[in-house]
Amino acid sequence: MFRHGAPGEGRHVLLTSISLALALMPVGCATKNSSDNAPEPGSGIVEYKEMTRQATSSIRSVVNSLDKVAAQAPPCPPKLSNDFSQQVLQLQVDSVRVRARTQTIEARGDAYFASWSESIARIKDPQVRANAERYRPELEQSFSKIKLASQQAGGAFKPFLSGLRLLRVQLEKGSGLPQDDATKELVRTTRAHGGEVLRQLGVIDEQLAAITTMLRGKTVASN
Amino acid sequence: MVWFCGTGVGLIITVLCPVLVFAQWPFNAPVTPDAQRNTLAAVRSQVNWLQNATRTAPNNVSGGYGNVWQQFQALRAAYTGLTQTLNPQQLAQGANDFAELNAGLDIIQEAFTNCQEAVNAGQTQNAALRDMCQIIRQATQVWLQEFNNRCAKLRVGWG
Repeated sequence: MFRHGAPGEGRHVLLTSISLALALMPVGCATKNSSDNAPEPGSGIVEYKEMTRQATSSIRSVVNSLDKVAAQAPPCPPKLSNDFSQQVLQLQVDSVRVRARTQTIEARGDAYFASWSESIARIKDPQVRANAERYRPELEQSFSKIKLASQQAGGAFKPFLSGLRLLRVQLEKGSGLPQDDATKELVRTTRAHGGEVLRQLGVIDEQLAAITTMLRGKTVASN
Repeated sequence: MVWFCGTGVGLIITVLCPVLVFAQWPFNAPVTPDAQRNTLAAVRSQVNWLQNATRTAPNNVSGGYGNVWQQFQALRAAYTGLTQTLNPQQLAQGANDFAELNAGLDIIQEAFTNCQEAVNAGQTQNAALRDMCQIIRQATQVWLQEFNNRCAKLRVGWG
């Protein structure tokens, strides 16, 4: 059965906050046996944290590579050039999961969290359910921050990737980045967008850690 | 006799070409575990065909891009076919999962536009096509892993 909320404002707020809290929890979970269809508490959060950390690592690698290439007067050593090229390609693969998550959160908005209201009945750990109710205002705040950070990360990622691709083509064409003002500005703005993506991914990671702490209480620390 | 032959032909088409049946057939797709297993297999097969196309395309610049595009669109059709076999519970509980998988395909599809933009920016067609194929091949592998995980979680094809 799919419930889209419940009568009464107080219960609606509770369900909304718990559904917000649990929005990320069941994703990517693994059930222990065929009869136990309750999501493993925290596993969705672990998956989301892993996504953001993978994307963060890839972004830092490509920005580091860009710095080396940008600092190199032409001709750029092939090793640096090839490394940058491959980093740009790899980023486009490594970022697919987190971008899909971000875009889905943006596109579905409240529906993203509302659709998880059904999972309340499937959470078997009474402590998690109790903690979700206990910390509902804080959980609401955390998910609002995640939603906002997702939007801002997505907004910065597009120009970041676009800049990287353009710089990559220029690098391959000229065996080094042109030393003109336009290219220097492109490098600067691309790095700035990359920095913004990293900042927003950091916000998401912080909030996921906070949610984990709240849902687990002080008994078990989820990673 | 005619009815039996017609049913047999329909069964063969359904088993061998679920993409055609569920993506183009005007009637509603069956919401059964069998139908789900067929469409799961269709999606996985289509990923293989797409990845094969990405391996051969760089050797055929003139037609390679179009072939990869066709195989990718066939993958999208296969995925749509799968979603049409989901029961109401799976659709409800998996709303975010399937939205993310669809978003993943949208993101992978950007590789085609990026390829054309790279050529416009001065990259050679060979290099742009090679890069596009590498990205699509690796990204669809990631997508397939997510697809398998989500379908297992939602018990698609079970029973």
